[in-house]
Amino acid sequence: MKINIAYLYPLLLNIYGDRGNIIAFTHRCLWRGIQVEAHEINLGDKIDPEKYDFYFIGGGQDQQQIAVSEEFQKQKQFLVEAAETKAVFLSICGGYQLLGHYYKPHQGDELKGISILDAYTVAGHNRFIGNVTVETNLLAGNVNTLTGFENHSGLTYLEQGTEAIGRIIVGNGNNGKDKTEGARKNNVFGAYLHGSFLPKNPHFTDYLIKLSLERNYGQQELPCLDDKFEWAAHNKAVKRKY
Amino acid sequence: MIKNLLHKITICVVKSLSWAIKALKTGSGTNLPGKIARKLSPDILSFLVKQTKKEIITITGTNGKTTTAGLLASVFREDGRKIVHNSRGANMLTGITATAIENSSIKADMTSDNCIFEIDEAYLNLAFNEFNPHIIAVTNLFRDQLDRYGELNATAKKIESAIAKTSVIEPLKLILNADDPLVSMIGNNFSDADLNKIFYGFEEIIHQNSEEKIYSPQESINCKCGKPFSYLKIFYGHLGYYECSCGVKRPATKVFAKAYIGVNSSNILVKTLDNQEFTVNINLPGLYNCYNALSAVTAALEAEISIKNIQKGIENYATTFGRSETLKIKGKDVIIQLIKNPIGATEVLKTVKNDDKGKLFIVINDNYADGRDVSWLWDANFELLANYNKPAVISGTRAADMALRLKYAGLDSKNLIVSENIKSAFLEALGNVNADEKLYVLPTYTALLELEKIKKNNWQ
Repeated sequence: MKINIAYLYPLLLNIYGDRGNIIAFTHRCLWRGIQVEAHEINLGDKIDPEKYDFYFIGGGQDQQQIAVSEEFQKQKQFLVEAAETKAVFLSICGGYQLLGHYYKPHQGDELKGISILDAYTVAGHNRFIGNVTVETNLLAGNVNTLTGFENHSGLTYLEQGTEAIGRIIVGNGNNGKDKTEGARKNNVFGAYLHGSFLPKNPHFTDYLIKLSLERNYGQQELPCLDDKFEWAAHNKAVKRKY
Repeated sequence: MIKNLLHKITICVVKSLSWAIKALKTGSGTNLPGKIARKLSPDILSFLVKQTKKEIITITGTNGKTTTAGLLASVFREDGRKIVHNSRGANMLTGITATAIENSSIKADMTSDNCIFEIDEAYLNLAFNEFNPHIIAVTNLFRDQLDRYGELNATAKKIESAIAKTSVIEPLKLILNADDPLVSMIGNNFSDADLNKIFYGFEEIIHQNSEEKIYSPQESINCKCGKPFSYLKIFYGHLGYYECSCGVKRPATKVFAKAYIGVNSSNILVKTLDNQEFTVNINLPGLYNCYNALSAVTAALEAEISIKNIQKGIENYATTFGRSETLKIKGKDVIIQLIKNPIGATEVLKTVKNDDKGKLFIVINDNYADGRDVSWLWDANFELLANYNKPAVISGTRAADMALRLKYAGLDSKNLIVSENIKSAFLEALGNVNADEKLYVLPTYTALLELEKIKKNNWQ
């Protein structure tokens, strides 16, 4: 079995350990004998929606986010097609905002997204910076906490058709008001969780790996790994003071 | 008169307090006295620093402040000058105030030739409310503690707004790293009458162990026009020869150098626009310390110090605790090097990788001064240690995160010893080191402070 990863715009959006998510996803596949090929997609590269099973996009600074928003409009039809054909997306922070309809900054034009999540983001007046713990019901039969570190001023609101990935226990999450964190629509996921997110949430990583395999190979069971270090890091971060 | 009396009282109170803190070995004694002094006499720092006879020099930037200021202080001492220098890295206003008081008499006289202050990027603005510098050196702007200050471009703007506050009769000398596009763009909006920009940078880097192409974390930097810079050469991080299609490029340098990098020391061949040429030996590891040295050389030249004294001062520099400092502890060689962000940490890891006889002790805390977010561990290239096949001791409040990072970097989990308590972990790590080996201690900032306390207790 093989998974093709599209790592979207790593030269522009790679802030706060986003690379860690690719490292964790890749290793947890390789340790189980699943082949992985990670392809970096940069500005101007055409995206082949058939080729990639798992898309990852991280966060970045304002100028870089503007550049990706513009590029996204050129690639929109391919990314929409990928989402419709069950490719898996994980987006963090700035990348998450651009999978929704738009990001409205304090000044200047709206940054357009690609609307594969029913969500929109507006600039807030405070920056949410701190540890986050979320309770999720996505991972039936497994540990139900997710943990990471948020650092954003954008406030994201979900619309009908898209649900949150979980409920906030510690932290602010999407907008600091409705206790939601992240977004999920079919196989498209977004979250404000840095940390890095996937390494210390191995149950969620495995969930994404299964979904990515399903596209070409149907439902697969993953062999267990020795996750002592992963859970030690998870447990240290869960319910950590904001 | 009354004002002066108040200053004298403050100095007496604070000096005795500092003495008591030191006697009780409760800490490095720099923060609390400064805080109290500023409460008692809010303008004490301004009052003392204004007595400086010659240049007041400040060093800022994300990495290398402590070492650059230390090298510069060593050069100025070589030149026979009496200096005031916040040598222990206490670089916020309270620390600088405490340093000034330490160097003044109880009559409130601070008879020094120069002040050399390293100042945290975010506190520069406040500092310049209280005194005017003659020279400011900016080392670099890397991704560091973003959870405190927001984003990189915002830090550059903070430095500019601080510069706008200064008012000296002669134009302020701003010493900038030309190889860092974020640093070289600082002060573009100021006129030459207000600001004299002096650039330094490297032309060529030669590694003694010519290394394979190593992944280094990189920041995508945009030009003011909005387009990303392209690079002709990259030295490390985002430092190198950059240009933009709009015409902006790395500025011409007044002081430029070639670096020859060895395992634990380097030398740089420095040239200047007015045709001076000399070699400086640096007894510190890594390219990052060559940058610190070149920054100090440039500042010293601007303060008209002789080449001979510059060479001697840098060569004889005794390291500051935890900044590439080599120690003998219980008969064993220990080198302590602060790590705090991906680019700096990666440079340090290159040194560790090149030493077959090195063993590791890594301490990661997530207190405010460390940056509460440990995501940066995943941006640093710990994969450099993939072939490290010895026990490694991991400690600190986020030891679990560090151990996990090393597991994914390719280290054998069986070799990873996790122990949160720093003191017992340190003793264990030291115990694992054989006579012909060296212990590499890589702590974050507050972990370094804890190690300093253990040192004061004679490593017990």
